[in-house]
Amino acid sequence: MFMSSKLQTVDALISTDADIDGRSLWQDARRRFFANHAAIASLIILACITCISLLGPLFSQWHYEDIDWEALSDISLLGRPSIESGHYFGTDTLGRDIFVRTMQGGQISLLVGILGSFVAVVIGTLYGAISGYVGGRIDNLMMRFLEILNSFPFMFFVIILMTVFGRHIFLIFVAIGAISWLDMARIVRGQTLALKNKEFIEAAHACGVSGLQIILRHIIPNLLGIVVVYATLLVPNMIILESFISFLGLGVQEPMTSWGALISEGAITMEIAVWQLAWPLAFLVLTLFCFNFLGDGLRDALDPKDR
Amino acid sequence: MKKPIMEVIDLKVHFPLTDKVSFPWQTPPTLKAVDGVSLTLYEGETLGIVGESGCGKSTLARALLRLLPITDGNIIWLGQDLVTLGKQAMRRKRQELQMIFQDPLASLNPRMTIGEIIAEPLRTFKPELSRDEVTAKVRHMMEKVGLLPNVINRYPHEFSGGQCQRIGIARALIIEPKLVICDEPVSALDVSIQAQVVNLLKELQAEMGLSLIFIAHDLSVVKHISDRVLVMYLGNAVELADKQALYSNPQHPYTKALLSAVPIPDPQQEKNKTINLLVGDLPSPINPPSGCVFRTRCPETKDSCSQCKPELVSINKQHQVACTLIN
Repeated sequence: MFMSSKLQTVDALISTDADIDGRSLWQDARRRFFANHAAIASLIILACITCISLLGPLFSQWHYEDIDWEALSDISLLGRPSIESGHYFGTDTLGRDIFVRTMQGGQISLLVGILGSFVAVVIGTLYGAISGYVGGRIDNLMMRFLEILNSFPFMFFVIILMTVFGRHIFLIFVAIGAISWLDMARIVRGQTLALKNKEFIEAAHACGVSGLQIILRHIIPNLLGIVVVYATLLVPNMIILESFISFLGLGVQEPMTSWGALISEGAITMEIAVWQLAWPLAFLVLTLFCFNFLGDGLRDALDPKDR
Repeated sequence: MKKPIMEVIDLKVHFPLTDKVSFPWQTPPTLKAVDGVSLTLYEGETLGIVGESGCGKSTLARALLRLLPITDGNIIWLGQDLVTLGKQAMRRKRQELQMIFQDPLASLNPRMTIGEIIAEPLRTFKPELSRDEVTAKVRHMMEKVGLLPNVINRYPHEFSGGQCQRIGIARALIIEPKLVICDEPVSALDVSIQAQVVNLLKELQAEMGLSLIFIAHDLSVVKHISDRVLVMYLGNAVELADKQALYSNPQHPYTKALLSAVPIPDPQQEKNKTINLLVGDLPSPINPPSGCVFRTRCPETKDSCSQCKPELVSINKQHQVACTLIN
């Protein structure tokens, strides 16, 4: 009885003219991603870190440039982290509030990370897809050009930029953006080479679709899985790179700061004021871990075969 | 009298093997995938192309649509030579010439819904159609090829092989082409589905007045669907004849050998039949034998076979053979 009523419902469903919605590969991937606890936890933590970085400074009485003259008189005692003084994370050697500075540094670090990998994704994907799809001599030329850029010593490039144009946050974007898309372009080119001989590309060609439309409509959507994964794993690289530049003293300009610059300053005084190192370091490490877990989760979700 | 719509004259597709040379100024050896095929296709007929693996069937099919670079020869399509057409002009011509592919699932973009896939030729050739008109046409086409129109928003991986091939057929037919080239459309399907798809093609052909070029290596499928059959060997056409004439009275030694290997669905007869087995392997298409390419394996070969390459010559109205011994 129960069976037959169930069958009738199925029959009714089939016979109605209502469109049946299919489940796209993206929806499948989303389902797999949401089943991955580590990735979801990372996503939540990252969202929290972003929110704190953006909104945290509003809840503090200090500004990231302000010097607390009182605390400056004895940093190792008055500059300790405490709720009463308003310095939740303590102060640095100049008496500036570490909490606000960590948040402000987080804004810069995340901005560099996300914008840097965004630039890498856009340029790298287009460059790689065109190079792989067109092939032949143009592919050869484009790839050789890429190798020349890649053989350029990165630090040398940064130092030249900084000495010629002076220290500016914009130059960090230029420097990081200029090298980060190279690997992306290689990866995308390889994938395009694998894709372009698939029959559905030939079918599109036979249907009279133009080359650009084939790239945009058929190749890039099929590349996007790998691009998304690689971009997520690129963000922590960008942050590390920026921290590295800042650690060497070539990064953001005072009084602005970034996690790398804070760590660099904190490392000098870590024996007497460990909080100056610990807080920015904790945020940096947590962010990097989360991005890596997120990237792993995305890779597992988008590429179930490669697990 | 039937009207010819496509005439192929001495078509050659050679692939240069550039990785075989050490210096750029050397002329690379070429792989002669299709080496001088001529044929005429009439309106509304089905031309079957058979031959063993690697004989150039698929290359010929792709070359006819100019999906591959053509080395030499002409393809006269309704009075116009496709080989000399520019890129843009050729793209416009593609709405008259469509193709159905071998692997049903691989020929559909996995990220698009089947509605989008079937609509793609319409989007390309008739951008003036509104979204609703396109959807209506797609639904109509889906019904025609035996798909439920309410699965329009599904994705290719949710369909079986036979259904995917129907989607491929729908995509090829939606802009009402005059010629459809089917590159082994049924070889990836199991036998019962093969019959469905072949019969569907036949029905749609009758309904829409299509010409078909049907490539397969299954001789019985070709016999079922074709009006005329072209037999290929190592990039050359060896025999072109009406279906009846070819199957009942094969002339070329290669065709004879090929047909003797077709299994007979009767165990008694199957046991008693003799297969005239060819000796040796297929020669390399990089360095094919001089004269008749089949002479290295031909049971009736003579010294004269290596002298000059035989052309397709009519032995009667329905039958053309390329063999020096017969002509």
